[in-house]
Amino acid sequence: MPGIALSQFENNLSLDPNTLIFLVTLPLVITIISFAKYIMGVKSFGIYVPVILTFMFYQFSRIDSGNVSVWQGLKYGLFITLIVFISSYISYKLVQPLTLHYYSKLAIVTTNVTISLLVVLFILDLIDRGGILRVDIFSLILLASISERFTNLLASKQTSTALMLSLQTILLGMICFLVISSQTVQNTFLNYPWIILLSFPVNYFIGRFTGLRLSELYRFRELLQKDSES
Amino acid sequence: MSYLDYWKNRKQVLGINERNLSYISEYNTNKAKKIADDKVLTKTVLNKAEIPTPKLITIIHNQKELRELDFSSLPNSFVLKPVTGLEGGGIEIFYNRDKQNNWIRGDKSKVSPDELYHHCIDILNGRFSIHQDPDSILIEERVKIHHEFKYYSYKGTPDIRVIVFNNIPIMSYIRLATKESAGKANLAMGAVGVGIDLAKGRTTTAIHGKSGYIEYVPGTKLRLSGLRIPYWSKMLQYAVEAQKATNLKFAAVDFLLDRDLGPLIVELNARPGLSIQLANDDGLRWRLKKATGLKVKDVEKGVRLGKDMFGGEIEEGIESIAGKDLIGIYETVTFYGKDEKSTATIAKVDTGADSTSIDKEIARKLGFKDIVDLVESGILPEGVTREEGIRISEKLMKELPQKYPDIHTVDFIKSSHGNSVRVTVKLNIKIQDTTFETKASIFDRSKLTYNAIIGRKSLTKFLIDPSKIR
Repeated sequence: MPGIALSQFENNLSLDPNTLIFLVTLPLVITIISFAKYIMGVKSFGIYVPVILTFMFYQFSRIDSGNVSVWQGLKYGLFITLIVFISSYISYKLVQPLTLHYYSKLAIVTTNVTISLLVVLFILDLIDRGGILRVDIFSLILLASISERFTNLLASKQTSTALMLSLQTILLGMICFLVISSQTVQNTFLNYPWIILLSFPVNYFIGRFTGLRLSELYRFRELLQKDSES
Repeated sequence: MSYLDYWKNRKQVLGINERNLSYISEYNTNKAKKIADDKVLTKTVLNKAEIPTPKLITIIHNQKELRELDFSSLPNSFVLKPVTGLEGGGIEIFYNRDKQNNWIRGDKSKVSPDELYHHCIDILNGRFSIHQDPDSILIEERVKIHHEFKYYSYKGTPDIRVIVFNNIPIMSYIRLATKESAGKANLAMGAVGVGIDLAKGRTTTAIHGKSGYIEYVPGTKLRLSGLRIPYWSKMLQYAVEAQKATNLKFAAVDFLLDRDLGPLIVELNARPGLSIQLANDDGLRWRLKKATGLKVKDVEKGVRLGKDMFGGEIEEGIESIAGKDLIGIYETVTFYGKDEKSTATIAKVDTGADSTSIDKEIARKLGFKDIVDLVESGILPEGVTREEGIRISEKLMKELPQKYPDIHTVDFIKSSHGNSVRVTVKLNIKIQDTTFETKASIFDRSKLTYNAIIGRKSLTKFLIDPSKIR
C-alpha cells in the first residue's frame, strides 16, 4: 500500500511534521519498551515514563531549520532529566524525616523541582540563547509528573532500587529516542505507515513469551550452571 | 558443564513471564487474589477454616476511626500493617513503650504517638497499597520469636514461606532478618533466605540478599544448614488447608512461628517471588510441572506427595543406609522426668564422655528434688582416689536406692574434672525425633559451659557429624 505514504501529505497538512512522526512511531516505541521488559528484563517505571522521556528527548532535538539534531536532543534531554531526578532525590531526602502527610511531602518535592528547573532554564537561556527554548509547557508538566513517580518510588522502595530503576528508564528513553530520530526509521514509517499493523503480531508474540528473560539468565546463573538432570 | 547444559537447565527454572502467564493468570481467579491481597479478608477466611493467624487487636478503616482510636489503649507490643501492603512496606513492629508513651522498635528507635498518627494517615492515604489506593490499617499481636531461631535471626521473627500448587507443597524457605536488613525478613534489604528440605523440614542452602550463597549466619559461626524447623508437618498441612480455604491454586503461604502458639499464617501471596529458587538451589518449574494435573483428594495426600516428590535430598543417603539420624555436636535435647515433667536445653554431644550427665537444676525441674538435695548435702565425695571412689560408691549403692527409689545407680566416675562419685537416674531423652531411655548422672554443672552433655552410652542410635555445629 505504498499509495498512502504519509510523506506525500506532509506538506498539505497543517500538522507539525514532527507531531506526525512521533505519532506514527509511537507503536514502535511502545513495542521496544515491551520487548525490553519481557524479553530482556529491563525494569523501568511502567510504560508511560520512558515514552515521556523519548518524547522529551525528541522535543529537544528539534532545531530551527525543522531538522533533528540527535546530539542536541541527548545533551539537553539528559541534562534536564538529571536536574529533575537529582532535585527530586535531594528534596525527598530532606523532607523524608519530617512528620508530614505524604501528599504534602510530594508537593514540596515538586516545588523544589520546579524552582531548580526555572533556575537552570534561566541560566541556560543566558548562556545559549535560542537552543533550549524548544521546551514547551507540555514537556515541563510531563517532567514534573516523572518527578512524582520517582518520589513515589523513593518512598516505597529502597534508594538503590529506585536509582537502578531510574537509570534503566532513562537508558530506555534514550534508546527509543535514538531509534525514532533515525532518518531511515522516519522515512520508513512515513512512506509505509501500514508497518504499524505489524505491532499486533509482534506484540502478540512478546505477550505469549514464557521463556526466561535475558536478565533472568543472569539472575539464575548458579541454578543454570548445575549439571543437567533428567 | 557445557553451554548446552546451561541451555537445557533453563527448563528447570521458573521465570517471571511464565509465572505470570502460565500460573498466576491461569490458576488464580480474581476472587481468590482479592482474598490474598487483603490481609483482613485473609484472616477472616483462614479463621473460618480454623487455621491459626496472629490475634487481631483492631482495624482502622478511615481517618474518623483513626481519630477515635485511643492509642494509649493499645498494648505495649503490637504489629501495625497496611491491609493491602506490598513487600512488607509500611509495617511497624513495636516491642515496648517508654514512660513518655513512645513506642520502641526492635532496633531501640522510638516512635512518638504523633509520628505514629502521621504514619497511619500515610497508610490510609494509600502510600503503601498496591495502586496507591486508599487503604486500611491492621493492628495485631506481635508474634514472639521461637527459641530455635533465637540466634539465627537479628531482632525480627523469621518468616517461613511454603509455595503450594494444586494442593501440594512445592518448595519452601525461611527468611532470617539480619542487621543489614534492619531486622526485617526482606531479601531485597539484605535478609538471608534459607531453603528447606520439604521431607525433613531442615534447612539446606542459603542466599544472602541478592548477593549470593552463604554458609553461616552473618557475623557468627552458626551454620545455616541443618536447622530444624519446628512443627514442620503441621505447617505443610496448614499451607495446603489455606490453599483449599481460599481457592488460590498457586500461592505462597507465609508463616511466623510463635513461641507459645506454634505456626501462624500471616500472609498469603498470589504472586510468589522467584528468589526461593536460589535459596533452594533448585528450580520451581520442573516441580510445578510434576505437580500439575495430579488428583489430590485430601490434605494429608497433598502433604505426602510434596514430601515424597520434592524432599529428602540431604543426608538421606547416609541415614537410610545406617538407619540412624545424623546429629551435630550441639543439639537441642528434651529431657522427660517424673510426673510428665520435661525441660529442653542445648546439650553438647560428647563422645569423650562415657555417660550422660545433667545439671542439678535440670534434675530439679524434672522432679528429682530429693536427689538434688542429696547431691547438695555433700555426701558424694569428689577428688577421691580410684580405690576409695569405688569403695564408697559400692557402699552408697547398698544404702541410697532404698531411701531414694529414683536413684538408678551410684557410680564412680573418672573425668577431666577429677574423680568423683555420682548418683544416676533413669529418664527419657528426645534428640531430634528419637526418644529413648537412658541413665544420667546428676551433679553441679553450673560452672561449666553446657548444663548437659550426652555421652557415648546414650548415642548408639545416632551418627555424629562434627562439622555440623548447630
